[in-house]
Amino acid sequence: MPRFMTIWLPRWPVQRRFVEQPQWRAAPLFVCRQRHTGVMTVVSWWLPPLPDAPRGAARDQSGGIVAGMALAEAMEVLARSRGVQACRSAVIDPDDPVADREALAGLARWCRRFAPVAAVEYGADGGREPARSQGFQPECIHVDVGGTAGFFGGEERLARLAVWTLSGRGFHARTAIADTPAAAWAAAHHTNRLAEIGCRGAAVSGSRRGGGGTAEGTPTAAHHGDRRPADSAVARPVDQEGNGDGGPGSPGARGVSSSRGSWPARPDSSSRRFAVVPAGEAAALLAPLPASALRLDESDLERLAELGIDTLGGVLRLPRKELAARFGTTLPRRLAEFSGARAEPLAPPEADALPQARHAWEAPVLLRDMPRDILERIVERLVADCVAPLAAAGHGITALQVRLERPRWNGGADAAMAEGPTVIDVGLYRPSAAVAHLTDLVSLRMARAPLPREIDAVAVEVLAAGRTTARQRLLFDGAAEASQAQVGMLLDRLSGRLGRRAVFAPRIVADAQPEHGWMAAPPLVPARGGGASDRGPRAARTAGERPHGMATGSRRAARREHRSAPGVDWKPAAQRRPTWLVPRPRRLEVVSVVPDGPPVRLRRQGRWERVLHAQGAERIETAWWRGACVRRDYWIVEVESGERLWIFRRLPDGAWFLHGLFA
Amino acid sequence: MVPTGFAALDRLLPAGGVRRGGLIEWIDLIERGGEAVAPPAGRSGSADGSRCLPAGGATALACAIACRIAERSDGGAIIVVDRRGWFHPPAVLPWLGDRESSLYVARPAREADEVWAIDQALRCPGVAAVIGWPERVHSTALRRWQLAARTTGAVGLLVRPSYTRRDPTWAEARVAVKPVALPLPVAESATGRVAVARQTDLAIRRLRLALVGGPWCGDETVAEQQADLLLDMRWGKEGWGKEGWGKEGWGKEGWGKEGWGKEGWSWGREGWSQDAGRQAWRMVGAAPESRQPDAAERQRAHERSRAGEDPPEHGKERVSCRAS
Repeated sequence: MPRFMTIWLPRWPVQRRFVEQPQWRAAPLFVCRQRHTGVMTVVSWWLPPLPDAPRGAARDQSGGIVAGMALAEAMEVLARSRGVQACRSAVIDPDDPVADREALAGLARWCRRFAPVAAVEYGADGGREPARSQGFQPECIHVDVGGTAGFFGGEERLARLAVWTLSGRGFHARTAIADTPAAAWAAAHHTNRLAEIGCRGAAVSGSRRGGGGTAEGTPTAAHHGDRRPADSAVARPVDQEGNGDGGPGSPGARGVSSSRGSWPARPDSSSRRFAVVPAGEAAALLAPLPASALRLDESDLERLAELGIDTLGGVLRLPRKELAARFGTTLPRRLAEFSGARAEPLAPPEADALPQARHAWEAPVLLRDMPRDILERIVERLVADCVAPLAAAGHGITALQVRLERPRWNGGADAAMAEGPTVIDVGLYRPSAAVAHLTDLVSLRMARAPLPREIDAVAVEVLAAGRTTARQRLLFDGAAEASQAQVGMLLDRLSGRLGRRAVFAPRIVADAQPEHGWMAAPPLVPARGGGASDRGPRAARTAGERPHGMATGSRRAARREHRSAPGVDWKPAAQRRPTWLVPRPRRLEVVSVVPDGPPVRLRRQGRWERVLHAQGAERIETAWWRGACVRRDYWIVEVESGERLWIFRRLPDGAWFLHGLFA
Repeated sequence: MVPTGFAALDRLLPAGGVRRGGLIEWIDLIERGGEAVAPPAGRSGSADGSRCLPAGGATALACAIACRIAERSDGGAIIVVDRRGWFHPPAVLPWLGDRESSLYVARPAREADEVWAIDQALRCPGVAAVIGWPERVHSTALRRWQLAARTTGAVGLLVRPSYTRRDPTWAEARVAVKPVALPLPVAESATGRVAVARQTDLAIRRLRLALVGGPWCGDETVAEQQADLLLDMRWGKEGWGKEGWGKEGWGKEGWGKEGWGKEGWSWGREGWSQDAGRQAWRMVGAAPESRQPDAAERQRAHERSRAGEDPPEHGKERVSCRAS
């Protein structure tokens, strides 16, 4: 009995961007495409929820914005509804359909955990859909769950599990299970309506019971499955990844439950996220849905509307013989696919599958009883299994994930996965196929991570792979490339224990303000032959090139340093920057003969010290359009004891600060 | 064996330079940044707060030597293990020139992580030098570092706090560093000579080094174990005197035995006492025999510094500490 599950990810371009840049959820987002006429049109958009909207209310996400309208028009609508501030903070991102498709294909591969065959939907005629010009943009994943639903404890559990695990990954999804992909597609897009239909006559209570949402009412056809009592009493599975679901239109964006990372506390929406259409009842149940649920062209929909047919049931009741003559080929095909007369093949994405390996025990093992080296040996074996096919193709691993899975707690209700697995992510700067190095990194992380009490299985999955450079070993090896590789491995180890942000390669940035004058770049070990130095953009120049306040010798020195075209590649002179930079400049008392002149005496820790030499003034002013303006005159002073300090005078008010020490 | 590039330091070190595969300890006599800076607020509460902020020039010297070692080892990496987090790379990056990409900075949060990081860095064959500021390190850790350095040939340049100066060490040498202020130009006025603080180009830094012995040494430092060097902060190399720093200002009469006596170098509670130093300067300033360099000499020194020549051979124009 074929059964198909469709996972619909509404506004997929926006969702994909949110996963990569979670900070964009807080502001309006427009994904735009430039048409051949030069007009920017909105492909997808997102408006953050208003802070004062009541929790139970259905939020109006459209706000008057429609896909396909011009960007300027959409901004105007936004300004009208939310104010000019929202327009200023809006993020505008260009459309990238290729990346969207690839990400969706990756997600489809991930969905293979539900069933072996998972495919991305494709459009009618393999291509054009008039609603969106320039190609069809898929948003759904079809999964063939004919025989696999039993492993998850029923179709309803499977559907809910799909929604839950995707929300754990940060995606907002709606699923439906039906006889054909077309019927499942229709059901997935209208789970709200199905819930309303099913819940007719039953009050939706606040607590989550029996399939989430339908309370004491009779189990409806749309949500069949065992009603589990005491659903909400069981401790909700804590999400491993932090936020609950955070997709567009989701309530998880705020509220206490989302901060704890559990399933959102709003029962209504959770009941509307998945639907199960029993076998054979698709036509009857889905009849009230609008006709667009059949994936028809706009022209066909218009013609049907002229005839007075809006619902799916009405379309199904049309006599089939004259359809081809009147409506073209799409409509009969869709009807055939809906009823199952015509098979809709699923084309899974190319098996670009990255290897994964898993080791499971028959019974859960207590970690404190297991010696650590046994676990490490198991991980080493799994990593070797993963590395073998990649190394044969000349690839190495760039990102690896090790999961320690906790046992499924079958005794509890609604616990398809009682708690999420402990996930250890290991990233490398250079692709590596060395099993020992990878195992070393994993064990460094495992020593730091909180491990679960008992585990059921260990799974190792390769998340990213890259091409390794093949090196032929010489008999009398110069060891130069070997040492570069060794340095790379050292950096991996250091960042594994200290954290990825604690190991970096500093680069000078052409920024006048000293705090921002350098950046911490990820430490990529360069190929032999030296690394590229950064050329920063032209920045505000300091007064080091102005003769004001500098002795003769240093002016000549300054000219010598800036022999190249000035402004193109600005770097501060070596002797002008201190070795220690105080993170927050400390207030000093300084006496200078002339207000603008060099300091003469300093007061530190209550003691006055005489300044013997002062070099300066280096005036640093940041651009006024960048925000808070920083205007300082920097001096290098040498005190009697021989110390050299880097102090500055804040120009607006003449206060002196200590900013660095020449150690 | 890599010459450090500073002749005075090369003479101080027992091997005549920096031996690859060993550690060198630096003790900076200006700790706590001259007490201008309180211990960092964020970390002082924990047991891992850094109490010691060496600010007397040892760090710059160590970085200069590290750059030199990396030059010679043809592509070795320099790893800076900075627990305090205040290290400012733009001071050192220009000294590397083309090899800017061989400097890496690691910021451990805890002392145990710092010890581990230095150990791992010294063990890596591709590393030329490791710079760190470890404070409380057990001697087994020091021994482990020394063995790791010996296997790979890396050099560990560690700046330690001064209370460790008497501890036994596995390092090849322990050098105490103290900055010395540049001499003030004196000007003649109607009432006599007066020292004038003038803005100068502070590209050269003067450091006074001394070899520190172990617990079997007394508090005295022998004159042969001391040296002065000039560090050119523009390139991290040895500098030489410019106009105004001619022989007369640094001549032997200013540096006679009186200036180098025990009282000038005592390890008393205040650290290096500066009285003898000031006395020496007073002697220079008040000595009627000392003359200003004449115009020709000044011009020559000026030309030399402008042309960027190599410094003249040692002993002629710079400080010689040997009592000869």
